[in-house]
Amino acid sequence: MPTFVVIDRSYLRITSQEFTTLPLDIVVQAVVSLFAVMWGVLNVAGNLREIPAAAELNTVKWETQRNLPSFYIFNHRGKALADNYIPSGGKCELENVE
Amino acid sequence: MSVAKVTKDTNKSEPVAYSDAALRNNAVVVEYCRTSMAALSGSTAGVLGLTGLYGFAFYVFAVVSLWVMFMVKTGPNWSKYYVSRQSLLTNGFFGALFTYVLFWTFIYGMVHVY
Repeated sequence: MPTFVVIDRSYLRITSQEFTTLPLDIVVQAVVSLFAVMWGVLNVAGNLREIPAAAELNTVKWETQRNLPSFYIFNHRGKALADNYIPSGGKCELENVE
Repeated sequence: MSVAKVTKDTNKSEPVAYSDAALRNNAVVVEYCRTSMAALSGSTAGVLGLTGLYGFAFYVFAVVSLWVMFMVKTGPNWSKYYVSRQSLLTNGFFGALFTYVLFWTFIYGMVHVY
């Protein structure tokens, strides 16, 4: 874009005309591209977040609220009721290993 | 989630609580756009060879068009993202003006003088 203006200026200088205004197409091009880049920057800059304090609390799901790490159970005797349960030897097997 | 500010609306009796983190995030986004707008429109003004008050008029034009773009982006429910529209338009006006003048004079000198 600046190149066009420089070319225009040097053309006027060579033909020894007086600089009055820029050609209309350069002006239109400059302003339109300014708007295009501004709109692009606006979309690149990042998302705006909703400012009311409750806005993000409303999106919390029941699964998130119920998630209590202190109550995690990793070894429950109820698993013996499952069909695919293979009982281990238990304590006596550990004692016989020697 | 901390509640930064509880304002009392004049027409609504219920106070509105704003999220601190969201407000700060939006301010950062607006500031980024504003600085970029000042640099870009300054360069454009320099390329176009604006001088004197025309340049400042172009700056006002650029500020207003950025504001319109923000309004277009958020749509009718802008109050979910900004506390006020007026402060979005006027905040940091002179701060960005210095950036604008810097780029304006620099590009003007590069293109039209040398």
